Amino acid sequence: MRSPFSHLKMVVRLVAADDWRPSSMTERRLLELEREGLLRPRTSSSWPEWIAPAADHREPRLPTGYVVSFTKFHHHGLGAPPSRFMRALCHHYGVELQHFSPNAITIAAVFAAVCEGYLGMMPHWDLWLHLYRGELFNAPTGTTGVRKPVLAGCLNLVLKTGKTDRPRKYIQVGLSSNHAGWVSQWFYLRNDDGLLPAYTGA
Amino acid sequence: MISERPENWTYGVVQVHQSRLDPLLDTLKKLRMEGLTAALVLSDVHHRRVLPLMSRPLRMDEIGLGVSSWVLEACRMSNEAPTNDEVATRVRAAVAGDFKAEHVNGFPMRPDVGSIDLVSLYEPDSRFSSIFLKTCPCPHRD
Repeated sequence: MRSPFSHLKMVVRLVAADDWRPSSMTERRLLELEREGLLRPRTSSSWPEWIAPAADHREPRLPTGYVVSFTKFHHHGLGAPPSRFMRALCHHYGVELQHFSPNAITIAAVFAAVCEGYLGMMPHWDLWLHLYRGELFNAPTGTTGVRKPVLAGCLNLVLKTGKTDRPRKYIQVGLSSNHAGWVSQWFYLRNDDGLLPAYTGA
Repeated sequence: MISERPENWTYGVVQVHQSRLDPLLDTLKKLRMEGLTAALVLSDVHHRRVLPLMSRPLRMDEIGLGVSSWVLEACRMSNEAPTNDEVATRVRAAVAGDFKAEHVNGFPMRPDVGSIDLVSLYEPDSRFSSIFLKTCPCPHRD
């Protein structure tokens, strides 16, 4: 039976976000990613394609022309320079790269691959808007009604449901729930031609 | 930091244009019924050595025989194909379920042998005019 109070939204109080965690990424680990074919090889010593954070960087301190990326993103389908679709996602949702969750990257990558590899076209923007919406993730604090914003991974992309049968018209996407430690695997990615929104730290 | 969901995060397509997506949605439904899942999509992606969200000279369905080696090199992230076990490990890291090496390339992309030609299902349809092959809104040109 429906509660007589179900129309009332629970008020959520936000508290301060946690600070960045120091990065666990080293040059050696990023070279492994490069060897796996998930990062571009470094071709320039003055403006390398990627940089491992220095040991004293407790939070991102980026050189000009770089953004913050995470190894999970590259395992899930992100590449540099970013595709037009990836740039459109940043533009439309008004977010920076670090705001995507790992599953949001997976969802976007799968959608792009379905459009290109099976439908034979570039990612279709109206189809994307028809199928997906953005959801804001705030981390739980352990206290009911109190959440905290997150510095990384606040944008989730969720298949729309409702009166129509939209989910049944898309392919089955069961996402991993195990991304433990991903937020500490950050590094600096070259932002070719400033195609991605600049990192503001916000 | 984003502490409130902006309104446009839930935007959809204006109602008058929704019916024009029907041929595409029907095609997606067919893909689903044929058994395509995100895991199979990602296994194809890794099998082909491409990153879906990276700018490439060719779309994935254009990567096939007859493509010059330097273009292929610009599309592919590696000169060596990963093993099926490596592909399966990458897939399991991204999606739920126990994806196995024998499932790799189980639903080939176009134009590989065994891929399904779905394009003919919607191309002749007048509802799906080129006007609605909308490219993504982006502040930069390619």
